[in-house]
Amino acid sequence: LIVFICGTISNIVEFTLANTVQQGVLVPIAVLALIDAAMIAYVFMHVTQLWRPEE
Amino acid sequence: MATAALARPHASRLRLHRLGLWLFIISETFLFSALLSSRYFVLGLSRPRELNQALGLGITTVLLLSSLTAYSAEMAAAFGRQPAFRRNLLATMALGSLFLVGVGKEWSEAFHYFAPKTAYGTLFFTLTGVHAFHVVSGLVVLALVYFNGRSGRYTPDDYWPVEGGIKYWHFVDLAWVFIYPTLYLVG
Repeated sequence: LIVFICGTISNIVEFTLANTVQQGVLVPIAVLALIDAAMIAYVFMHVTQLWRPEE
Repeated sequence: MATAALARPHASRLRLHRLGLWLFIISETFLFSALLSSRYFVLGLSRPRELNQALGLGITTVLLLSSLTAYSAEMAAAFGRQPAFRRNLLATMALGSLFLVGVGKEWSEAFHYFAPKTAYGTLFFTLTGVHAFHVVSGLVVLALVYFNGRSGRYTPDDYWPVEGGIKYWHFVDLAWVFIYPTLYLVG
């Protein structure tokens, strides 16, 4: 649920930035997208299973 | 001890399954990266003003919500809660279908503003089309998992098809996290 809430907030922030700031939105939007992607890979996709020792 | 010895081949097979799926996902990121970078090559930091940004935000939220229900379905399968597993998987498929309806609406609007034969039109329809194809294939996989799961095929000890199908679905969401700002916001 936290990932969904953070992702939605991040999308709204990206949307607001794109419609209010005239120039230089690429970097903040790219950073927000990378944070979203990292959250999805870490929480939803369990990427750490790849290098975590077997239980 | 005998149980642990029996479980070991299963565990190493699971690790191989996961590694194989991640390698496939990484190869898919190259495809999307190439398409995304070509958008910047063609248009730089500008974009057509006719794109429906609100619709883009709406379908992005729908896809993100579908990842949440997919995650809940996976957790339900891991803990053997079959009704919750089926309910969440159905919700995921419904949200995925809703996303496709949104893309269809965006396409019908986009055809009026930029023809597929123009440079941006080619990029827009290729990028959203390739992604929509991934959504459709993800829906097919989830439907197969659902119908197999209905007969009680998956147990908390053995539910790799559920995990694999849902990981693929999350990847479809992850790809859109970059496609949405690239097409609709930057510029």
